[in-house]
Amino acid sequence: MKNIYIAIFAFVLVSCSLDPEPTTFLSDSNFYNTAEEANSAVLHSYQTMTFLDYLRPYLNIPTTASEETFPKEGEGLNIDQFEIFNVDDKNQNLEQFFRLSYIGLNRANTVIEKTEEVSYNKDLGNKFQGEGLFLRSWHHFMLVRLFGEVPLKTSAVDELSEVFGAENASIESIYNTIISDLNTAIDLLPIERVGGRADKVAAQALLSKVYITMASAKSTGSPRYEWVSSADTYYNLASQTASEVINNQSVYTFDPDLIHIYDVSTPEAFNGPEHIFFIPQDRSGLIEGEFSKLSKFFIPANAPSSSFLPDGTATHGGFGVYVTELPFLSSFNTNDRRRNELVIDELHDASGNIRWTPSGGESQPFSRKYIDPEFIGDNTSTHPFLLRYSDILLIYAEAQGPTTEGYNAVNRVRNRAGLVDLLPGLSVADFRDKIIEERSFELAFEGHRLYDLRRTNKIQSVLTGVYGKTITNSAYFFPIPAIEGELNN
Amino acid sequence: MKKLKNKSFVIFLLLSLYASFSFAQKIKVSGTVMSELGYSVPGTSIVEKNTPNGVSTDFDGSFSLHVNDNATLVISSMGYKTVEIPILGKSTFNIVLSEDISQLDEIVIIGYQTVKKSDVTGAVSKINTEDLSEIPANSVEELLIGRVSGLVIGNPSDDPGAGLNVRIRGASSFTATTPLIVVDGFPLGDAGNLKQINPADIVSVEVLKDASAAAIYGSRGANGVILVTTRRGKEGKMVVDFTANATFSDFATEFDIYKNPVNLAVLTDEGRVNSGLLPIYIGGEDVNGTYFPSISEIREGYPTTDYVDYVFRTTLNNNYNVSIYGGTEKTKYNFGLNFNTQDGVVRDNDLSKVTVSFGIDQKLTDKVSLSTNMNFSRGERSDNGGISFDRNILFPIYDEDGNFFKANDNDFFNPAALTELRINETTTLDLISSSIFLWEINENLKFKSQFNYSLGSSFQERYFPDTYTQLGFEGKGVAFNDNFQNQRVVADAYFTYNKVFAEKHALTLLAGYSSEYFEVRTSQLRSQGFINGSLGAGNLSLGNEQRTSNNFIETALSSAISRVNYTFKEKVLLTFTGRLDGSSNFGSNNKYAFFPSGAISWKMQKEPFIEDGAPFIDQLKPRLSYGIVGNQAIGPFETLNRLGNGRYFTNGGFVTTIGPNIISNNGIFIESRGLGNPDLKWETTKVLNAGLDFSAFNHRLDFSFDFYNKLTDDLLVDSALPPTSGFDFLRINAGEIENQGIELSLNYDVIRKEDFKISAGIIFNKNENKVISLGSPESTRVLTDDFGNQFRFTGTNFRDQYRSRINVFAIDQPINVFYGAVVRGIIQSEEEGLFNGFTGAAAQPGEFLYEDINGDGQIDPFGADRTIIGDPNPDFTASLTFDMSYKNWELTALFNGSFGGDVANINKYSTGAGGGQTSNLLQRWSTDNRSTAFPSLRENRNVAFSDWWIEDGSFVRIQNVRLGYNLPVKGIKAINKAKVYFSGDNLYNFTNYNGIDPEVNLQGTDQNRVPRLRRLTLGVDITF
Repeated sequence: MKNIYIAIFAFVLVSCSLDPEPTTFLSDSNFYNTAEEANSAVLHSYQTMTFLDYLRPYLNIPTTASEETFPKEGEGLNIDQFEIFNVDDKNQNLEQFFRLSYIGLNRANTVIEKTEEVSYNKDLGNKFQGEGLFLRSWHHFMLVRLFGEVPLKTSAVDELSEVFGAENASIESIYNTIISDLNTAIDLLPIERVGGRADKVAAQALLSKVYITMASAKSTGSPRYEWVSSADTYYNLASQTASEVINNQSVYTFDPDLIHIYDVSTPEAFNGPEHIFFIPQDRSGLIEGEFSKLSKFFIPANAPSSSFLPDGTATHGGFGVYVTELPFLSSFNTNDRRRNELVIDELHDASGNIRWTPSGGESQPFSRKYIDPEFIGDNTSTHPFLLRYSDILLIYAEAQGPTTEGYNAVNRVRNRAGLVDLLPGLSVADFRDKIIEERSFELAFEGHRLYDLRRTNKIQSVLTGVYGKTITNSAYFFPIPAIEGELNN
Repeated sequence: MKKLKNKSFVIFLLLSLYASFSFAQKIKVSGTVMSELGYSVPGTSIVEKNTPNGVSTDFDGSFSLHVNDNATLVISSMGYKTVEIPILGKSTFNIVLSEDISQLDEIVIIGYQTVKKSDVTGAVSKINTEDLSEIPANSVEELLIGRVSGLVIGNPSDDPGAGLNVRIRGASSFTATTPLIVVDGFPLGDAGNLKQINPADIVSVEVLKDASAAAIYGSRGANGVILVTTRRGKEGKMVVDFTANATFSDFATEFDIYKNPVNLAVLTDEGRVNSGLLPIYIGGEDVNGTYFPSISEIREGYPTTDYVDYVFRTTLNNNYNVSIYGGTEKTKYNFGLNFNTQDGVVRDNDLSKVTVSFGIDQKLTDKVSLSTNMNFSRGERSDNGGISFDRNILFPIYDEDGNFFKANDNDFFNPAALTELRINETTTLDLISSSIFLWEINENLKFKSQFNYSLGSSFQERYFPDTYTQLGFEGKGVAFNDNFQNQRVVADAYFTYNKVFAEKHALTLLAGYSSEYFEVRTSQLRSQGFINGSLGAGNLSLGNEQRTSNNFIETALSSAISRVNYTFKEKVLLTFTGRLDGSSNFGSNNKYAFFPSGAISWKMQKEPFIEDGAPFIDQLKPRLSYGIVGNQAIGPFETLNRLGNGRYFTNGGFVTTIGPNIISNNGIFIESRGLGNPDLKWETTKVLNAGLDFSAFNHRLDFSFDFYNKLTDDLLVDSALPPTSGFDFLRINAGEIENQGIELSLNYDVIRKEDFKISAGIIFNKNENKVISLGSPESTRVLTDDFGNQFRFTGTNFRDQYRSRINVFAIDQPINVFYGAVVRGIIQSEEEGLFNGFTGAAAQPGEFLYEDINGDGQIDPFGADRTIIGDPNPDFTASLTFDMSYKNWELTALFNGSFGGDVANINKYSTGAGGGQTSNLLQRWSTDNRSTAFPSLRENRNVAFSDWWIEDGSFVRIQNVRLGYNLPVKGIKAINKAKVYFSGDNLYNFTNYNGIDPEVNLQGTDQNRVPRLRRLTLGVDITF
């Protein structure tokens, strides 16, 4: 009989708590307290940009919505729409980029809120805070240039009540927030080069781009920038800020070796002198995003699966998603090394015999800015270059206008490309037009052209006037993805 | 000590087995057993009283047995009164049994308790499944298709081991619509794939449909409960049953893809030219260097490959089953052994399974007994699913060098390469055990405690080789070891009190508690960069890069259970149940939930006016019930803000990052979750049920009818959040759904003779489902269109095909209705296109002529010109069963039908190398073929989802036909029964649907391109 009672007791005892502690994930109530934790949260904010939802549209949009490339046949409406400037609010590239930008904003805002007061080293806290502000500005700046009025996000969403009700902010207030955030970031950040992270110079570089966008848009009458008080004020601010990058620091410098800029084969080159801020990807990554297939997007589909560039650099085959447009290539000066050496017209075998030349159609010369000779299968360390020293140097020139400083800046870029100095004595307007043109050569295939044409009100005059493209809509702003309105009416 | 116990247990077991084999009798008795009507009664148990010695009568009712000369024979048979006859020196007996009507009253399990079938107050269906085990099935659910009213089971896939869609009385939730499955009192989770239990071990299944029945399962009862009962030992001689069958599978219909290479080339080029592209079948290399022959070369006989033939095979699967059971008054045992193969029709896509079950019931004292049950199953799966059968038939398997052919660097679809080189093997191990302690404290009070434990585990090895798989190419060979383990512990303890007061008030009280704990652990080892891949996933340390990940989830449920049954004069029955559930999944603001129910029924056949006035009525019982049940389909910790992690390359290496967003993958893109909702709680369903049970003419006619209304609110929704929130989805409580319907079952014994029986049954279910609300505007946003529809999108996002989701939850509509444009026809001329408001390519002849349904003069088939265009929910489902036996022959048939549900035929007009439904592509619009319903072929057409893709999915399927023959075994002493049978599954499907098969998922989207299988089985069943 006793055994029976023991048996009953044993059955009854199996009972358990209804509030089990989470054992496999961290909750926001028990995190962000130490410097290491905050550091991992900062990196988590950057990491948003390595999702394919971010990386793909980052280049899909501006490289096809310009004279640089057209998309390979069969890539689908979501990319074709940019080539023909007939974009609707269901476009998946825009939707993905929009979503990911706000995921990035939320992560940046989380960092900003969690580092306002820290119990660890105050300088470290400031640095994290500055990086959060930089990223918040980056996302707002990308969004405002793509879509115009969008919701402004300056606090983290960590409660259900904060999920709905975001309303579009005016373009002016978005710019005001960006400027204020970047100025704070510049105060908080040290100069410290770490590949894939932003420092004081990155914040200054970004701010100079913000100012030049406002200045040139106002000056050229680009749509919806009427609110900018005065073009000259912002050209001056752009010049001052760019000057901080060009003249007041020595960590990031002009790379005299044109080819070396785009070399990712060694850690030194990967983190080369020009690269102020970029999205780091490495061939040893486990999933796409951690590693990159960007090279294959430019290498034509009929290129051999293994071959060598004329200078002996090894490469793999490609998908040929972005097909270079020949009229764009013809716009380069015949002596321009950026056409002759950074665009590939033939591929060789190991002994130097020609294996491939463009055969027309979708088989065209292609950019070698994204080649990794150390590729493993499809995996490379190629990546988008977000802020490059030469980009800021040209912004400095554009902001300066045809001054000695301005000429010196643009001529450094031209001379490296094997070109003679820019014709002296240009008017301010002509000089600035020449800088925009120079940017199209220097920054070709890096995702800048669309934004340069938009801010200088040149979409129609260049794309339609020079290149004969038809523009149906979205010349200056793309429609905000329908999903936002559908879920947040 | 424990070991010793095990040992003595085994010895004890062997002894009792031995006892049943031993022959120590002195005299032989023999005879026949007949019914009062003069029929022989086969299968009657003849047992020497107080011994395990006994036999069963054979087909003619004859028996012979050796017994002690002072023995008493106990003769018992289902449906007859048991008699005891002392032999008193006689050796021949002609025994006549009289029918026992009360025994016809089956015992029905209603959760923690059993009642007589006639005393059931709620909506409960019972089905005996013993015969059904002749049908080869992965799980018992498959055997229930079309056999229980109110239970609708869909079988959307023929993949080995694939689960089923199981629903009771419609969908009362947006997220979880699957009933709870309980095996011998052990709640095991969602129904649909009870693969651990051998169907041949299952003797009956009860389905609890209304709240009165299901409320005892509280927060998991909202979708109904399926109670499965497995075989237990019986007092009497050992019975050994052996069955073996072999099943041959092939396709029920033809593939509708390109078989003729000329069609492939002509139609592909036509689609390209119409898109402004150059033709590709011109006898030259494409950009990837792959040669495409010209159409004339193809006509002259360019070599092709029959990939359907390569990928698919006809299979022959085997199923062997042994059941042994028997016992004495004190000890009863059962043992089951099953081995089967379920190889798929895809080459090398194999599954085999062994199941062993063992149970023992032991009386410890007069009042205390212990039962235990163990079920062990092991499966081995080699998965080669998803390989391309629709590959371009002009592509060879091997290239000139004898390597697997690749059309370009990124062609990872050569089915032969994947079959030969890719590895995907899983071993599963499942253990289910329960122990029951029963103590009859006195004649009124009983205590029962049940302790259940289950363990499910699997180990999966995968290897993706370099060159021929995408992942392997990216990682230079990628290998995975995946571990999965779940454990469930459920302990119940409860008292039942039984007493009849003043001879007319019968009262049964049940009270107790139940406690449940469940955990899942997973871990993954990944390695890549193999210099030599020949070991596959055998040695992960050979890879250059390694990565691990793991996860752990636990949930707990604590409950109090109670039930009161009251019967007045054996006529009026009242039942009240209540269950209090506390769940770890619920938010801190809503930890406990109470689920009450009540029911009343009236056995009118006990009233004099029926007993005297209409004595042919065996049963007339109206029932009424009302109650509240819940649904706790919440993932653990969804109430908290959860942080996720990622990896970022900085300072020369990857580092782990931590912050907002739990990321999951959707194709190459991501979905982000992680925002907590502390208010999360269970869904609540209020169920009203009114029913009537009617039997007449000595149970020759059985009829049952139920009307129900289920109203579910606080629906759990994976709410899509606006992108600006930084999250994609959040689980919330929002919305209300109503299900209302009737179900009817009718069975009639047309002929009921000794050697000739015919009976027929009909089951009819009609469910009307309606979304009442989509939640408060503060917590979820609802779209509104020009037609006043208020809705929210759900289901699969058809990004590439339609650039949209196509199902919506819309207020006042059934769930999952289709939302899209309306097609009026095909544009015949550019003028017509322009006149109707189309522009550009969309205005060309041969394009879809979409309707301007909002009449604003602008055609926007992707936006404003969309409305609700179809309903995937069937109007009603019905099934017909037919059973016949004539002498030694048995014939049964099951027809199963679904009527009025719409199906979106996604592959109706898809282009590409395989050509979805080529028969449609051949009817394309062209200037020579204007009067067709199909548009021209144009590869880059921007297609909007429209009613053009929707078809009526009604069907009537010959689900199963079985023909059995009982071999005459009269002369063979050792064999009691020997039967050979043939069973055919899915023999034919009557439907107007033009796709592959209209039986698809709950959203009604048919993306299937592989025809359904027809299965033919030949088997034997021998009982010793």
